[in-house]
Amino acid sequence: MAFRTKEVFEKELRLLVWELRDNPYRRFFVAFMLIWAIPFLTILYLVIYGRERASESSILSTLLILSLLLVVSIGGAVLALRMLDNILNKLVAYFIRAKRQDELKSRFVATVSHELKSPLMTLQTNNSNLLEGFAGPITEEQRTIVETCRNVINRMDEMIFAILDLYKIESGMVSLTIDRCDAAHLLRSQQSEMSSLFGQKEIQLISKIPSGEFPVRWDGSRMSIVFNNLLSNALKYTPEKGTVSILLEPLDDYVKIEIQNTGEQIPRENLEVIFARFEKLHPEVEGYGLGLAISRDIVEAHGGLIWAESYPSKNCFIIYIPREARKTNG
Amino acid sequence: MADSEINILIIEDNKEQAMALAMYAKGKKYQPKIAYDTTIGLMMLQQFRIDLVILDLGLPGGGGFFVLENMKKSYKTYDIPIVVLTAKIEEGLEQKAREKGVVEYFVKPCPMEKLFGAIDAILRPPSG
Repeated sequence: MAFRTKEVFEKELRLLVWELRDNPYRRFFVAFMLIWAIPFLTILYLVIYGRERASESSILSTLLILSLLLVVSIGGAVLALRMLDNILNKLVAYFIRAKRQDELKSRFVATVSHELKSPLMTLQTNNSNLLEGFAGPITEEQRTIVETCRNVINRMDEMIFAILDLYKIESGMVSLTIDRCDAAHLLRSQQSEMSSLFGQKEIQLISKIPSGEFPVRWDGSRMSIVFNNLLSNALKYTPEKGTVSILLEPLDDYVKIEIQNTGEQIPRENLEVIFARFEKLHPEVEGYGLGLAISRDIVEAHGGLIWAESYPSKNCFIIYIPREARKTNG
Repeated sequence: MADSEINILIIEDNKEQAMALAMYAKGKKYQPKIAYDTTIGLMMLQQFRIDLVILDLGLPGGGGFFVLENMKKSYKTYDIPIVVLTAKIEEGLEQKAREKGVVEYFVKPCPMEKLFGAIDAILRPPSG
């Protein structure tokens, strides 16, 4: 969530800088306030408290100090104005650079989208032409090679999709489509979609989802991605004949969702690392290390939190999310 | 109408992609025709009897939406089913395309089984 706080601060600062740059009177006022505040208070002190014991000499010395302070203050104000202008110019340059970087990021997404997805589509189509025999008959050996190519193409497709999704969410290109949905149904449907895969590894799936509807206001399709990512991770890292538990619990205006799995404990120092992009604790396990980063972005975009906890032979992924999502991006 | 008479127009600026799609369409017993830009595409739509259009949105000469708008204006082409196949990922693009009369919308890369499954459903609906 840190980068969003920074973004909000930057946005406010940018507004202030632009306002100061476009309004010379306000700029002068700020410089005046900065430099004249101390002499002004001194003068006020001398005028108010010095008047009681006023004598000719003290009036003269007060006037002398006053004029000296006036000269120093005017000089100081001019200097402060220049410094302020300098700082403003630097900040403006910084913001222009940041804006350019944002534009570059958006262009990167568009480039990845078009320049990588289009040739991948051509590869995929030609691959299908070979497999279907539309380009002539192929031998069994050739078919095996072409099928291997297809698997690689599919993996590349998945990776491009994951990267694009991440950039789209982070750059605010995706606005959440918040609508009424059933949290229990979202979890149950992900569970049933994956139940056969859990069955293959003889993993026991324990569901602690309340029966009936559990109405929330979320982006249902994006939250399904989160649940799918968490359950896929549980599937990958739970050893055969292990246990995966899904828990859904109402907490006033929030909902707590917990996915627990038995298996090797995630070292405490890595509990945050696993949410970083392309971070995988086990390089041999299939995947790109993007699922948890994407999940965190989606949950935070709803105004919620997601983190991991680990215990001896058990790991938990916990989500606290408002029942009525508050959009924080876009 | 015999299957071999079903004409599919592929409007796609990427030549390799268009050729690969045409080969697959031919394999599925359709008659594919290719247009590499919007002008040729619209011209072919007027010249031939086309039963379905596979349309890319990022096209030279006005883009896919130019084709969509012009197809809807013409008496000859307004009811031809259009299937969009695009690499564009802008939010709301699918909805915009569907509002303009697109029946199916796919983002590249898309498995051929999925694309032609939808095309079969439109052009060869199961009878009975």
